[in-house]
Amino acid sequence: MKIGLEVHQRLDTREKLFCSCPTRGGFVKTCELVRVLNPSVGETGEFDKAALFEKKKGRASVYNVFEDSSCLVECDEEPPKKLNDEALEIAVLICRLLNAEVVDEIHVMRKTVIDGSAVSGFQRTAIVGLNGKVETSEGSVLIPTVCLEEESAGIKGDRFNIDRLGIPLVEIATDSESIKTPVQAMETALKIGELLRSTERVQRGIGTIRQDLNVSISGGARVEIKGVQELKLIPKIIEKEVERQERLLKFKSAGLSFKWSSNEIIVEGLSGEALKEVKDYCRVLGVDFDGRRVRGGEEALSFIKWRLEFFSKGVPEETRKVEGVETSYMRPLPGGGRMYPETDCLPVNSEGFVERVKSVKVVSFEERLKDYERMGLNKELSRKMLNSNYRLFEKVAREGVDPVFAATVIVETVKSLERRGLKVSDERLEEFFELYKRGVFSRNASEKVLELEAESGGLESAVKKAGLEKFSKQKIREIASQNSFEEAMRKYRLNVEAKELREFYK
Amino acid sequence: MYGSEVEKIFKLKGVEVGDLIRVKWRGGFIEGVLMPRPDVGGEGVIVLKLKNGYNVGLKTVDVELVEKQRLIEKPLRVEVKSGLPQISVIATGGTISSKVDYKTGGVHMLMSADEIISTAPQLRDFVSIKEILNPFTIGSEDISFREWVKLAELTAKQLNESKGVVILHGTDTMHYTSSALSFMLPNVSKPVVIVGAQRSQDRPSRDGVMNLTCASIFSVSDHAGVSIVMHGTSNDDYCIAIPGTKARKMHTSRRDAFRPINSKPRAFIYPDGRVDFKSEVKKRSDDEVKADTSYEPKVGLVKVYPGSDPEIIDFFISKNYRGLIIEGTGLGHVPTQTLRREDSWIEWIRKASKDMVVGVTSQCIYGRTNSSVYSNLRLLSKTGAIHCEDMLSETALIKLGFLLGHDYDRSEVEKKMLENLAGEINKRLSLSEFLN
Repeated sequence: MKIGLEVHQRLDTREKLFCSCPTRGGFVKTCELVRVLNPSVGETGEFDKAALFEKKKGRASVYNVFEDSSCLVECDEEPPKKLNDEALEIAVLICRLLNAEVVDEIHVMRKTVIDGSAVSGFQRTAIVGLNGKVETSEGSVLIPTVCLEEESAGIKGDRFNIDRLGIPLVEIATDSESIKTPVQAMETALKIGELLRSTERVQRGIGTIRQDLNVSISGGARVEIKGVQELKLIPKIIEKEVERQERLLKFKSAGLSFKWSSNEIIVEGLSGEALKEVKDYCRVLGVDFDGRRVRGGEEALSFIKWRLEFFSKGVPEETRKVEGVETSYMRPLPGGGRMYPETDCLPVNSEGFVERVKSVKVVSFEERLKDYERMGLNKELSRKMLNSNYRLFEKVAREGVDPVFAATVIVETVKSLERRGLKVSDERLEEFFELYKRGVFSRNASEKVLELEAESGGLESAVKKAGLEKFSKQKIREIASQNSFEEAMRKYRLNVEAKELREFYK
Repeated sequence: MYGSEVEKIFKLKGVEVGDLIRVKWRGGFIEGVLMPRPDVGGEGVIVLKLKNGYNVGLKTVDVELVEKQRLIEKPLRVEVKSGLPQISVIATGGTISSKVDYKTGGVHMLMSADEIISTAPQLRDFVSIKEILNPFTIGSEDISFREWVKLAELTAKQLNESKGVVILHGTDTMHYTSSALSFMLPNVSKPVVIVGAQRSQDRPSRDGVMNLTCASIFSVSDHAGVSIVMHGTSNDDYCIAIPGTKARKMHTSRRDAFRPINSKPRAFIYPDGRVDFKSEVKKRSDDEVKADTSYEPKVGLVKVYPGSDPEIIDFFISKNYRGLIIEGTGLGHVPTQTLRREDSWIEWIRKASKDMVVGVTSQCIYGRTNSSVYSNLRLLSKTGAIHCEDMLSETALIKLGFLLGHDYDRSEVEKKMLENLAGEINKRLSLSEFLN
């Protein structure tokens, strides 16, 4: 069994990787864009199979355009600007932490991505570091490459949102030899995640870090599993994939036969995992399949035919996506023909960046754990704290709030409110500690206070709830018609401006 | 390419671009294919393509050959349907007809019909390519009137032998060429379609696919005339055909950069083959087309601006220019009753008008110029300068060069400047002909 891991982490930069758009936004949708991608002949002179597959699906992509966070660069209507210095500096810092050698000159490449998630049809990506490693309890895991690349467009139903397209990501890839067990894969992911967060310059929150797994068994093939969100599921997902490949290898293709014509394929002898696999392919390609008869367009059918023929050869290389601990088929694995130079971007000399990050101080998670324990947190709480908003914790602890209390609030109270569907934002949490320091409420009331905060849904609804909202003109007219000015002011002093009220008595 | 020091080492080790090599770098070895050096970058940095496809720049001179390159040229073969109308394609250069060679870093032209079709396979459903001609290969910023002449002659010849002509052209000066061909092919009887691309051919999002498909469709449709065919919007949904004398590149990079100015689009063209004409067109015929390519290159274009020094006109006079287009402000003003007398352009224009035909257009781009509604316009008009109606500055320049290239006397040139010869003057500007 071979296991590889790729970690993608969004960087917390002010601007995107190749333009001046902010890395946060997506609130103001302005228009839609409809584009058709056409696969190109790669550097090797051959069309990429994954690219052709997407083309066979033959669809145009629709993009939701948000002008607060995307410009002509994301729309593929303007050449990229130069590689973002801030992002490169963070990537170089991450290389330092991984003991990776930073290449002397960084060359931006275009990686063909034709599923629509990149408006241009490619993702810009560059190797920053080579030959790094990360330590785990089961030994060192080698990191052959550290890349800096663009985030893809987000999938929204049958469309793409381009607000996040172009946010800087680092991609940290392990080799396929060092990880020996599924549990070690999880530990590696955890270690890399901690290391990234220790820079304090990466984005936090859902979707800001993603793990892809590469799994193959002897006789099987490399299968890339995309979109692993929960690290603790990694061992299970790997085991499930191994079992899936084993079942496919056991499938006796001898009994399989099919008749192929331009508008249908009649299949006999499909069962078990093989049947499931064909169903999956048909679903993705958008063709009808009733277990025996496949009906659809000629090109999609030729792909199904190719898959049926492959049962006698083994497991095809493919990209799958996670659904719980199971996976489902996405597309063929892209080949090597998908990478070529980004001619719009000049190579970047890395020397200055390497020099600059030498003096950057990074406190590792191990050091932080020790600090936290010194502050009185137990091991479990310390670890939990590190996986949460530890920067806020450190700030309020520095300001004199009891660390154990602060950690308990941030880690446990907030989580328990979340379980009840109540969300407390980081800003509100900061305000909470501010009030606590001033002695506005007691420690015992903290859960209730946070609950109030979460339920109030912000100041505006709190104002309304307390009956403090300012009256509309119409309402003021109504009051004026029923009360004298003095009476009205006495009754509604908090809801009107005297000047506005007076207007109605003139 | 690489510096002479590095090249010397390559020679010694028998290493060339494209070879698989091994380099010693920071105490370890790295293998990859030696790539050409981009024209910028550090001395002594070697660019390698790693096995995973990435390029990296490594500072080392410790190289060793692993394997000589094996170039496998795969001939492209494209099936062509029979019974389709035949068109001629003229490739002149520019993004639409170039392909980057990633092995050598060079750019080369798509020269065979198969190569062209392979970039836009859909066009096989609508046309067959009789011939691909390549009179010159040039970025459109480098084009001169000499190329317009060549192109007009070649186009006329091809029109007489096929259903239509598609010209692949760089986009920067495409609208100058479309104007020139409009005047130089006065009795055009079939479609002449100029097409380009704003995105390079290597990217999946390239606009050339739809542009070329729509251009081919339009080149066999029932009309006669010179048009530019490019994206209608930023979407990949349809192309617009713009009359050759009324087109302008209005954006540096968008795919829908070409817009009709003071005109309706000639047609919307959909990649499924539909052509939706948006204005009256001349019907196609088999009448013989003859090019009329006499052209006077001694014509100039100058733009006025607040505080602009009129003495620049002296240059044109001293260099024996025969015509000058002044791109004025607003309705066609130049600095006239300036506070400092010497800033006024009037006397200089009067002087220029003695030996030159002077035309005035507007830097507003949209709308018509006028020679009488303000006193300053009347003063300008009295110098002998002609306000060129709603003509684009670029079109007016080429028209003036074209007219002066002929044996007309001066008054005839001036009269013809205000006659509509090739769609360059629109007598009726309508509300819908703005910003579309």
